[in-house]
Amino acid sequence: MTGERDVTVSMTVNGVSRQRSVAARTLLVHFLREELGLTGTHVGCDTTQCGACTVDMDGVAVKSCTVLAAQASGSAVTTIEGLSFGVIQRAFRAEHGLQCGFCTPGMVMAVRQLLADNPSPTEPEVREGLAGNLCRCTGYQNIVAAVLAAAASGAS
Amino acid sequence: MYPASFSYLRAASVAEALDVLSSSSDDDIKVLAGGQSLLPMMKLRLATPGVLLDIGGLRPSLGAVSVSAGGAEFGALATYRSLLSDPGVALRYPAMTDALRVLADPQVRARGTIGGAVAHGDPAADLPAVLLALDASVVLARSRGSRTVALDDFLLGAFETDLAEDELVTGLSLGPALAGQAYEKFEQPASHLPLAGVCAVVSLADGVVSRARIAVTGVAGRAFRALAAEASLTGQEPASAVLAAAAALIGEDAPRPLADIHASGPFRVHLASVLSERALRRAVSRASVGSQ
Amino acid sequence: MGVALPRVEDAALLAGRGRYVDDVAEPGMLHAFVVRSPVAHGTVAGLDVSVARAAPGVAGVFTADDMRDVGALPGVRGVDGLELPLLRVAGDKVRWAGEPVVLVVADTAASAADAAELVEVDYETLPAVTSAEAAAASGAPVLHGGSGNVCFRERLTSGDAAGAFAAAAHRVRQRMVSQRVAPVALEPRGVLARVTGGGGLDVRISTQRPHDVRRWLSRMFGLPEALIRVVAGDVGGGFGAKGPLYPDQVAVIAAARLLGRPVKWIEERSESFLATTHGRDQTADLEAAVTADGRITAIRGIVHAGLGAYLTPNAASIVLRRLAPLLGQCYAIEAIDVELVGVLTNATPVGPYRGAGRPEAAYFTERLADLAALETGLDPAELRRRNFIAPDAFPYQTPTGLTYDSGDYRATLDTAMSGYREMRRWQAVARSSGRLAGVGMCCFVEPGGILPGEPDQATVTVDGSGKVTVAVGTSGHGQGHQTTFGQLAAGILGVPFADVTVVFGDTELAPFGHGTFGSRSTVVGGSAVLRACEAVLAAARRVDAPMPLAEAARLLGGLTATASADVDGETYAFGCYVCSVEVDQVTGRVRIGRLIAVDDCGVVINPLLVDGQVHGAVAQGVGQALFEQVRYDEDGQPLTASLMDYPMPSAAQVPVTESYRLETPSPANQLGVKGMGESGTIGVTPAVVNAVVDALRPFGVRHLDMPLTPEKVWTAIHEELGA
Repeated sequence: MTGERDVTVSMTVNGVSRQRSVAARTLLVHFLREELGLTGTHVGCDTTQCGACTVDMDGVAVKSCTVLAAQASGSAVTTIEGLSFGVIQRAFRAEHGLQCGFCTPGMVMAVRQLLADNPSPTEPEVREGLAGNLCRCTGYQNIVAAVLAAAASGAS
Repeated sequence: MYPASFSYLRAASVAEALDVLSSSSDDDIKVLAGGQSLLPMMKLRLATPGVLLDIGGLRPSLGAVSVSAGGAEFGALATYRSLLSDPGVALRYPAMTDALRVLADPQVRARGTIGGAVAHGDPAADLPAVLLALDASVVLARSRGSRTVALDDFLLGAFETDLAEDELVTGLSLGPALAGQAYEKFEQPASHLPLAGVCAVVSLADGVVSRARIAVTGVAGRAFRALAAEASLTGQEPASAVLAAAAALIGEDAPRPLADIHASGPFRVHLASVLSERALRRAVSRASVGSQ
Repeated sequence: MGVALPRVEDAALLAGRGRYVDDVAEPGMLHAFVVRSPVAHGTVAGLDVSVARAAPGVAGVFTADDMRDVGALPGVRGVDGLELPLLRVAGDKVRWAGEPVVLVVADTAASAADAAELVEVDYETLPAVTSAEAAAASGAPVLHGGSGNVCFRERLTSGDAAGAFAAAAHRVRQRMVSQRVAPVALEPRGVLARVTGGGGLDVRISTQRPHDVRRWLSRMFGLPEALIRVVAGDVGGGFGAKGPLYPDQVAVIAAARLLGRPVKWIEERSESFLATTHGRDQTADLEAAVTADGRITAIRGIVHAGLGAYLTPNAASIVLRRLAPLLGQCYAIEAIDVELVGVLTNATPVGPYRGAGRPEAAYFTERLADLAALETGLDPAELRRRNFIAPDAFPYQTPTGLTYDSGDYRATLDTAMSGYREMRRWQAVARSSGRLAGVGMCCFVEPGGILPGEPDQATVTVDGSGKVTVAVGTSGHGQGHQTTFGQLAAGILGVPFADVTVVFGDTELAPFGHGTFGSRSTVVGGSAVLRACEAVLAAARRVDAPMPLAEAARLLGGLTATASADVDGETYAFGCYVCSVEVDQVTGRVRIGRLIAVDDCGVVINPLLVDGQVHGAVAQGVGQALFEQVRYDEDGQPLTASLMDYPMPSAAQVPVTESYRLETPSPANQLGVKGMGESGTIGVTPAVVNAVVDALRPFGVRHLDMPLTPEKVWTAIHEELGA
């Protein structure tokens, strides 16, 4: 078996089947942003910490900067663009849970997972559950309020 | 942010993966499982393997989690997330659940694997302390057979393990779950890795400690057993003073401690002491409840 | 006005439809990678880009030789006015680890990164110095030639400090450090530059100051401003650090011109810790003269400011115009005698970072105030009360030459008092069982509404269907200006909020302004919007009979007016922050219990947005107090150059803020508003440090420098125990 520097990846993204030939080293986040033009998923760091790149891969929130596009071949990926404007987004807006908006798509994807795993979180559980997402603008207070509000209106 | 170029291989079976590893004269090959340790290094070009062997497709053979009264078998590709949601793990190995809850973050736990937790030899990973205290064994496969080695013998030092170039970690096994277990962590505030993490596993019989295991991570080049502390507990009633005295002995078995801008060596050892006492208390109280 | 409306910005951002600079692509676009100095101080002994030039996908590799036609970055210098070249060639010096040396441009970002590894640079290293005091001392390594590294040395004196100290019943002296920190906006810096027909430039840049960027580029490239378009688009946070124009960005723009193709450069996170300006880095040795009844009559001493490897345009004013004149804070302190020394060091250059001089002033003075309370035996709240400038003294001329527009410091303290008393009761109970409990406060002023040059403008247009467009010269990047200015215009014009669209951040679409920084937008931008609205209303009155604005616009074929801001000076928001902390004696870990923030920023347009600004600034202030510090080793090597080592707070590390708001209008502008976006960084840091020192009172710890890490606190406790 010899390896290849380029790979053909096939995946479903936001319900649409996509196939491309890319360099094997292509990160999923770059595949989504550059190949597919889905720029809602953001790159905020290079140490897998900030979570701005969070997407849903086969039903679980992952950091797309730390997945190769090749690893996602055969998977179903949902990005922020693939979500309808639902309870979580409405709660973020109502509670002023975003300012510059850069962390926001990843935050929404992570919150979606948090509430799916724990539909009625306590405040400390929300803060712990956001361990993988950094925000510099909001100080998290209104993000936490948004998550609790979304939970209360039955987000999951 | 952009890894150096590499050749990519996706293994379709364990046999194929082992074949690639054994026949590769190129020792520049790295195995990719969850990628949550390897890919960050590659993005910063701290690791530049020429060949990446992706074993992610082998989850059907290597992803199983099986827990019973007799012990546990974890396939190397079992993710932290799957372990965290496994009721058998929660019931019989609560120290693992303690550690899994505070390890990394939810997204990383969705991809990171238990095989990756040991194969890398990261001195600041949470799970090795728990696995060490639970007397874990690592199952390794190569083309011409497999072997099982105690985790204590597998971990050699910082980013150094007994993994041979043609070997693959295929799983971990634990003996029967015993009694009280707890994991305590003091995190480095930026990376959230443990500056010190301690797992205590305590068995009680007739009101005294019949067996104690205390393992420490984050403090030295590899997770280590606090043998002096363990010995001091055996045969003793688990009273506060006894636990405190044991905790004070943590430093005796610490290999030269790590030191960086986040904590000095002596402070790490001190934290390990503090956490040992806390972990022992919780382990004893869980042992007393006797859910086993 | 005054309504907590949810933001109009949010729907697009929540759906992932924001357009940040990296989201934009141009046909034929190339990608840049900056090769930076790995050494903190040295000379480029050899530079060979030939291998890199030949690498796959490379369109160009640029050094200082390619940048000679570009004018110097305005306001950027070493000592003695020495201007700095863009990039480097052999023989040049490098002065900080991270200084741009070579620019590689290639067809993809990945191939640019690959080619960058092929650039061969040899350095002869020199000893490095990163501490301001050490760099100012004789014998220190000299960065720019000449006699030393002191870039400016000024003395601010007013009143009779010597007399005040001679007469003082108490003298309270303390050495304090406001440590170097990094802004860490979630979106790193970036720029996409394109040459337009006619030799102009189209520049998309993650910036807080698009019009000023256009002006600077015009000077540097010798192009008329009319040929340059600068677009900020959506900007993922700035906090001051995206105000300046940087040499790496200018080099990218120059490369785009040389190649005749669009070039994009996006900073990487670890790179940003080296390349984006840092904040604070001031070491103070200050003394307060205090009367027997607790009045502070003078402050004297010296402050060393570490500026980094070169002086950036705002760095001197941060120290000289923000820090020093504000040491009086809310207090009627008659005399001051402070020496301010700005020193160049082998570190990332310092620039504006949320607060920019004001957090340092509040920190130094509020620590002295607590030490004065300790000396005199007064409760810290009482000591502050005795020193406040009286409510009837406004406008108040400070001895340092500032005019505080309005203030009622007793009111904010009084609002915090019931919470303060609850915290003291909690503390007493906790202490009785041996717990280390502390309470701390900070009273502060926050200057805002800065006007660095000609006033910002706004253009208000009402079309024939009654739809209103407001274009303004400030440049929001998360503050919610589309909502705030929309509310303002709707209120003044008497039209529905939904009919108003607010535009900014694009030099083609918005009239001149200085952008958004220094808590200025509501004051200055708001004033411009107000006056433009008034001009439109005046124009509408040309119609014979009174009628709704939309009708008038229809009859007149549309209405438009452009007006400049007209403000009487800066505003001085103020507040009182109080917090409780508990210290774990065995680990040194600090936990903030309650945090009460009382802010008075005058008239409030949207309270939801004001609270959001407080929360965000509080998180950064807590970050400085407990977690964050940029650190270098003795060779000037960065030790905190990634999020793995630089603890930017996460959700579990930030306390809940209980916010209260008072409104003392500003007489300095027609709206009565005051800038307030930085208050959290100013108010919370001293409150937390004062609380921790208070918690450690049983051990006699007098002061502890930030960040108050567990090891630092634990060591302080145990040193006292051992002593």
